[in-house]
Amino acid sequence: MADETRIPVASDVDMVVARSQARMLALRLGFSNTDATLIATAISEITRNILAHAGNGELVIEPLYENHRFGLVVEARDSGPGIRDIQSALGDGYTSRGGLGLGLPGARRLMDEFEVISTVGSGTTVRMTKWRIRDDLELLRARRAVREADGGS
Amino acid sequence: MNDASHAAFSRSYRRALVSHIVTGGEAGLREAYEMGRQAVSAGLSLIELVSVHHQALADELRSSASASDATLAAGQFMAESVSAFEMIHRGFREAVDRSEEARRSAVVIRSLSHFCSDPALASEDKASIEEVLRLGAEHAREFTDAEHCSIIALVDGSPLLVADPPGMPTSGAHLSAKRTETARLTIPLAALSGRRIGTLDVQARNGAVFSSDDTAVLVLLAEMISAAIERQTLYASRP
Repeated sequence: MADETRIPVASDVDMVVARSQARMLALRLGFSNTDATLIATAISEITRNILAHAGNGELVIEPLYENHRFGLVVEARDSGPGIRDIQSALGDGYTSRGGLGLGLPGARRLMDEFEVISTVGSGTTVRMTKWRIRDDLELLRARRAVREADGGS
Repeated sequence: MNDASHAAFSRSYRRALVSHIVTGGEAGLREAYEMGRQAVSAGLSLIELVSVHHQALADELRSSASASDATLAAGQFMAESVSAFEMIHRGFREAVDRSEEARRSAVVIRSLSHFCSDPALASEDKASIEEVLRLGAEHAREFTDAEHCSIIALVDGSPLLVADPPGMPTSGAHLSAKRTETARLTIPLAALSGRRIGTLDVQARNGAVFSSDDTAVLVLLAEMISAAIERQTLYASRP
């Protein structure tokens, strides 16, 4: 799709690129600085997972435009070992490599929608979305802008 | 985190903060995120992290040419650092919600269990079983916030149907018209022998889904209702 940004993930440097791209898109979509930070953090957690478990993968970041809301979707894909028990992996306390289990459950809490598809031996796809509701004033301005554009053409 | 670790963390934090104030950019913010993650892993509290941040910023401002730029960059750095704590805090709120759900489950189960185990129920007529079914349907619907619950049970050889809320259509045509949009749970009522003696059916509101907790509570409700029906049936069949 024309609006999507693909970022290969193979090192920590790629995490910085992914964070930066997502932050720029989030601010362009009108997300607050706080939400942009949370999106960047969620991306960091998912990217860490890719690097730790699969070694490499890919992130796809794209905007979603609906009448009453804008969204930012991140899809993280890898061809790593996969997750045997997704429900456990999304619960706190679960970790395959030590730590607090911040990764998947932590990222899930920061986003509005979160889906994990994984097959043992075939890799994992994580798709997460954050939404921003457009308030009445923004909708009014958008309609006015459309009318003015139509009137001027 | 002991004093030596705390001092080492503070030094690392100050280095990362100063680097970000000077050069800016996402690399510095990513470093802030890593510092926050390190703080969470080491058991540092949010208040301690804020204190480390303010001390590092104060030290830097004493030597900084542009206090406002430094403050702005430091604010961004702080936000990234505490994002790890935000994940933990949201996990705490989820745990509180789950605890409240568990408490509600226990209250519902205790209430219905107390009612169903009343020996007086077994000695009364069919009306008492109807009361058990009505109470069970009401609890099932309220606990799961469902749109509708119906219970059909074989009592004294004939079917007895109750619905909550009362008066809601229970025809298959109506339910199937909504089935494509709504979740539905059907739990069997069974005697100890395994013989099916009825069903408990709940239908979710549009767009809603049932959780595993909902299923677990409904299964328990169905078991209690089944036991009450069987007790009444055994009593009614005594010579």
